[in-house]
Amino acid sequence: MKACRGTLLLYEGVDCNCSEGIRKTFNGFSQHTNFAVNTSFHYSASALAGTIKSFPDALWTVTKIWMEYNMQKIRLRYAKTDKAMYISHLDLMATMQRAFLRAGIKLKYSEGFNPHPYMSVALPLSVGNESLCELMDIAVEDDALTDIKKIKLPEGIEVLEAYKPVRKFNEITWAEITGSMYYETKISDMLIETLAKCYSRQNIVVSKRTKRGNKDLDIAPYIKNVSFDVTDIITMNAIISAQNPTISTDDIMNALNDENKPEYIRIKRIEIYDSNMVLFK
Amino acid sequence: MEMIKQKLEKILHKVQKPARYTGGEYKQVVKNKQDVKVRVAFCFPDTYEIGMSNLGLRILYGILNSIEDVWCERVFAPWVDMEAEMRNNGMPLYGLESYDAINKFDIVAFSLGYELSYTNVLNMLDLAGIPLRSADRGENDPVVIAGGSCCYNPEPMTAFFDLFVVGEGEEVIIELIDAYKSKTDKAGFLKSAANLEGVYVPALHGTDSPQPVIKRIVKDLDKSYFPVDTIVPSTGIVHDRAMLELFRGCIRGCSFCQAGHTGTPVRSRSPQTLTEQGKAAIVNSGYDELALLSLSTSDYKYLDELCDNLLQWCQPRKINLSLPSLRADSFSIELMERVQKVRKSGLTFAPEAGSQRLRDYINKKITKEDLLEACRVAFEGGWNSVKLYFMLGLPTETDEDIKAIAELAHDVHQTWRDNTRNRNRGVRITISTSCFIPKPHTPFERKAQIPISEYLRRVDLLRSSIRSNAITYNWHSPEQGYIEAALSRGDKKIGDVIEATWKLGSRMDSWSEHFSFDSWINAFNNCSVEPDFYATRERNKNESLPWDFIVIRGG
Ligand code: SF4
Repeated sequence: MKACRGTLLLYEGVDCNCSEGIRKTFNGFSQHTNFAVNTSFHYSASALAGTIKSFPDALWTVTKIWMEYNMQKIRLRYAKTDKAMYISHLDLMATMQRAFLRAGIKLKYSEGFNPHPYMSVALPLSVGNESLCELMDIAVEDDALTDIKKIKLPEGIEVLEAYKPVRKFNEITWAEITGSMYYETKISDMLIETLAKCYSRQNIVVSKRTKRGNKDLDIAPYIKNVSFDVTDIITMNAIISAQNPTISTDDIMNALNDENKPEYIRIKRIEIYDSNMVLFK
Repeated sequence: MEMIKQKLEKILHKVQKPARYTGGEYKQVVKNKQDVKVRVAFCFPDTYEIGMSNLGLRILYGILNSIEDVWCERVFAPWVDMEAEMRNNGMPLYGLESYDAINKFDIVAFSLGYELSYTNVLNMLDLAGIPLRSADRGENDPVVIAGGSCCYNPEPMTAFFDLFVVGEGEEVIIELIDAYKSKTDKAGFLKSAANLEGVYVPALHGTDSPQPVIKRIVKDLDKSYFPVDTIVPSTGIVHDRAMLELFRGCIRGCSFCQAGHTGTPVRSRSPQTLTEQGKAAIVNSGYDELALLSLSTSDYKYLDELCDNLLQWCQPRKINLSLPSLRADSFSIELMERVQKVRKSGLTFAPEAGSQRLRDYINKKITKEDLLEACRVAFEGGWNSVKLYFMLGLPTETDEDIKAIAELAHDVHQTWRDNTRNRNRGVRITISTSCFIPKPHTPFERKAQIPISEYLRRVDLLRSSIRSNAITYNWHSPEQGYIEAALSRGDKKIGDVIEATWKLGSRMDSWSEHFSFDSWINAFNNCSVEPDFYATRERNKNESLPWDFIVIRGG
C-alpha cells in the first residue's frame, strides 16, 4: 500500500480518463481539493503526476504531489507564542519554509508542475492562540538531523526539538491546555464557582459550526481535568480532545451562558498526548 | 510600551489580519533605547502589505539603522477596523519595533508616493497625537518630514510638513540626521537643513521669489546601499519576494510619465553587483522568487548576461526569477519564456494609446508590429491571457484613436487564432483603461484632464467598438483619477481641501471601497476651491506653476 497526498486544482466538469482507482478518488472534486490516495497500484509520484497530466489540458493543474513512502522526514517541535500567535496557518507555512531555506536545509519538493516542499503540521493552530508543542513534519533530501539553532524565526516562534518521527499524527488524541479568560468586569469567587460547575456538567451541549450548518455536540466527553487559577485574569487548565472532534476556543466559550462569557479566551497548548495519555512524539 | 502591548492584546483578536500590527518579523531592527540618540518613525501612509512591498522603505530603514545611535521603526496606516479599535481604546499610533507612541520620537518621516494617500497622512498624524499643521507644532513635537515622488510638487502638503526631501533620499537622510544631532532646537535644525541640496523647508522659503530646490540623486548606484538583508514579513504582502533594482530613471521619456521625467539621468547597477546582490537577497531571506525591478526592464543593457548569471545559480535551487515591466517586443517575451519557469497568470502590456498617431504623439515608442510579434511569441509559447493597458483622454485624442484600441485588441485576438497551439483552450484578452492624469514635470504638465462625463462617453464608445467575446473591457472609475489630478497639480490651497476632506471622514482613498467622491466635492465646496481649476483646465504657457521652483534637471 502506498500513500500519496497532495493538493490538486481541478476545474469544474472534469472528465477523468485514467485508472479506475484514481478516477474514483478524483471524481466530484472541485477547485483546490486536497487529496489523499491510498493505492495498491504501483504509482510513483511521477507516474501519478503523469496520469493526472493526461487529463485534458485545460481542466486541471496539479499543484502538489508527494509520495509519502521512502521520504526522509524530520519532525520539529516548536513553540508559537506572543507576537507570533497572530500569524495565520498559511503564513506560518511560508514563514517556516523561508526559515528552512535560510538555514540551508534541503527540503524535498513534490514532483509535478509546480513543485512544493513537503511540510505538514499536526494540529493547525487558530490565529490568536498559543502553543508550546506544535509539531511539523518536513521531508528533507539528506538524512542528517538539522542543527535547530540555525533555524532563525520571527519573534515568538522557536524550534525546540528535531527528531525522526515514529508515530503518525492521527494518533494524537488529547491536548493539555491553559485558557486565559479575560473579563471586563471584576472577577468574583462566584464566577469561578459557576465556571467550575459549568465545565463539570454531565452533558455540555454546544452548537458547532460544520460545513453543513450548525450541529449540536455534547463536548463533555472531550474536555476533562478542568481547574482554574486566579490572578488578575482567570486561567483555565484542562485536557481537551485535540482532533475528531477538535475542541475549539469557541466550544469552550459556548459552553458558558452569555452572562458568564469572558471577552475572549486565549488558549495555549502545553502538551499533546495519544489516547492513553502517553506523551505523543 | 507596556500600555500599548496590553491594549493590543485586547483588540488584536477583533481585527482583520492582526499580524500586520505586531512587528517582530525576522530581521526587524531592535535597539537599546539607552544607546540611541535619534529615533525615527518611518511612516508609510497605506497598509502594511503595501508599505512593506516598497523598496524605498527598505532602503531607508536599512541606512538609518546602520547608524549606531539612530533607531528607525516602521509605522503603517491601520485599516479602518483597527483605527476604530485604537480610537475606542485610546491607543496612539506606535512604532512596530518598540511599541512606543511615535509622538515622542525625534523625527517622523512620511513616504509620499501617491496623492490619494494624503488623507492617510493626516489621519496618522492625528492618531499619533501630533498637531497636523507645522505651525501648530512646538519644540516637543517631532520634526515631521516627507520624501517620495509626490514631493516633486510639495505645495499641497506644505502646511503639514516641516521639511521635504526632493529626489532620492538615501544620501540626504544621513546629512539630515547629522544636522539634527548637531543642533539643539528645531529652528536651528531646519535652518541648517535648508542648506542641504534637495531639501525644501517651507517656513524658510521666500514666498515671493522662491529659491529653486534642486532634486537629489544618487550618482553611483553600484556603491549605494541596497537592502539584501532585510525584513522578511511573517504575513503575506503585495510583493512577497526578494527584490533587485537594475537601474533608476528611464531612457524612454513618454510624455505623460512623471517617473520617466523625474528619475533622470539613467543610472544602472553592473551585472556583477546585481548577481551578487541577488544571491545574497535569496540566501538571507529564504524567498524562492527574485524580482528584477526597474521602470523598463527590457532597456537594461546587460539583461541577457544578468539573467544567464542568475539562472545558473537559481535553477538548481528552484528559485524563480520574475521580470515585471517588460516591453512588448519579441526579444523580451523570448527572454521571459527562458527565465520565468512558473507560468504567471498572464502577460501585461501597456501600449497606452490605440493608434500609432497618438502613440507617436505621446512618445510611447511601441508599434503595432512589435506588440503583435510579442503576442505571437507568447501564444506560441502557450500563454493564453493578455492584458492591455490604455489611457483615455490623452491630449489630442479623437474618437478614431479610441476605436483603434478595439482594433488593436482584435488584432491580438487574430494573432492568437493564427498562432496558438491549442484553440480549444480559448484566450482571454483584457483591455483596461484609466483616465489620463496630467502630472507635474512632464511635457503634459499644462494639459487639461478630460471631464468625468467625457471619460464615460469615451468608455461607452470603446465598449461598443469591441465585437469579440474573447475581449473583456475593464475601466477604472474616473472619480479617483479626477481627484488625483486636482491634488497632483495642486497649490497651497489644496492643503486646506485635504484637511477638510479628512475631517469629513475620508481616509484610505486609494482603496475604491473607501474612497468617497462626495466627501471630496463637499470639501472643495467648503473651502471655496474649484477642482476643475486644477484638474480639467489647460494652463497657458505663461502661467507660473506651483512646482516651478523644483528643479529636476539638476543632477
Ligand atoms: S511610461 Fe515606462 S517606458 Fe515610458 S517613460 Fe515612463 S517608465 Fe519609461
